[in-house]
Amino acid sequence: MTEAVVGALRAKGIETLSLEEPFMRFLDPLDLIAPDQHWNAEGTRVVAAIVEPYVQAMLGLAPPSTGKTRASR
Amino acid sequence: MRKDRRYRLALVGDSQVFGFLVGDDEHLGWLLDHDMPEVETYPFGVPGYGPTQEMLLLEETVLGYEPDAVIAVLFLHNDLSDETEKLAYGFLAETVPRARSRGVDRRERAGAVAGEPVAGRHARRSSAPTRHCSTRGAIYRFATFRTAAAPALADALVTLGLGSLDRVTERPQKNGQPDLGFRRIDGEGPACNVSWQCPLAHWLDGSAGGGRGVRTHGDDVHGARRPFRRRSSCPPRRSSSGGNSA
Repeated sequence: MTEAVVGALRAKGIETLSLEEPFMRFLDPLDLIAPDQHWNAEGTRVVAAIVEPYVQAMLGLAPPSTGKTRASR
Repeated sequence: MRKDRRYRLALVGDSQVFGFLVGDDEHLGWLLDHDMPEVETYPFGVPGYGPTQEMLLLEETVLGYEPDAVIAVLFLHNDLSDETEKLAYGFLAETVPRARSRGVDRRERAGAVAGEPVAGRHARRSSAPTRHCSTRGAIYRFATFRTAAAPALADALVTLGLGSLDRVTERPQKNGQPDLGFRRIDGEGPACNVSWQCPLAHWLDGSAGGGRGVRTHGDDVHGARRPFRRRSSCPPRRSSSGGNSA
């Protein structure tokens, strides 16, 4: 289903960004989620750091001059 | 107010976007709004929503705010389940046994044999399949697009059977209207006020089909649920030069 959705969106010109690979880079991804599998506060910060560059690129905004460190574990 | 914001970003999604069980200054909308000074972020996250509801929300409410860009936060592992109500408010039937993720149990989860030393950092790693299984509930996919592409997103989801008006009518409603609720941000900085309405609250408290025993964000974290205050009208657009066009 995932590939079908991604393919359908791509056919419409909409690219998607998955959290899978960024999350799997963490030593223990469980540190990013609450017991109910929602992102916890740290996980949400990581997600924001992942998404922000894409938003900025889409809007034509320059990325921040200082590197963000909150997702650089 | 917020005259320096040149762009508007709307987030559409479920409980992850809502920020289930995280604080007012910890959910995704607040972080994006805080971190990108030129972008005014409107988080439209409604717990329990799936693609159908999200696309309706996008069409009926979100686009009225005239965002420059939209992020649809899709959980492709369970969004279908959301719509068949096998899953309520983002809760999966299988939860992560957090208590076992600490101490000795963490070593066991990482594959260490009892009585043997855990050798170095890599020994703490869970196997990839285990980690993937345990975290799959958090693995979302972001469809980030200019607002003009919103119809294309809806078309794609409907084509795949992920959008159905019939299913929407099965969702709890309030006063004949979809019971929408989402966090919003007024102002910025220390004076920033975040308010929200827990959607479908009447459903949770048992007045409409039986409570699920699921706790709400407001109840758990912040005591009394604060009222949601709708905008009286769509806020004025800001000019691209940063000034308020209204």
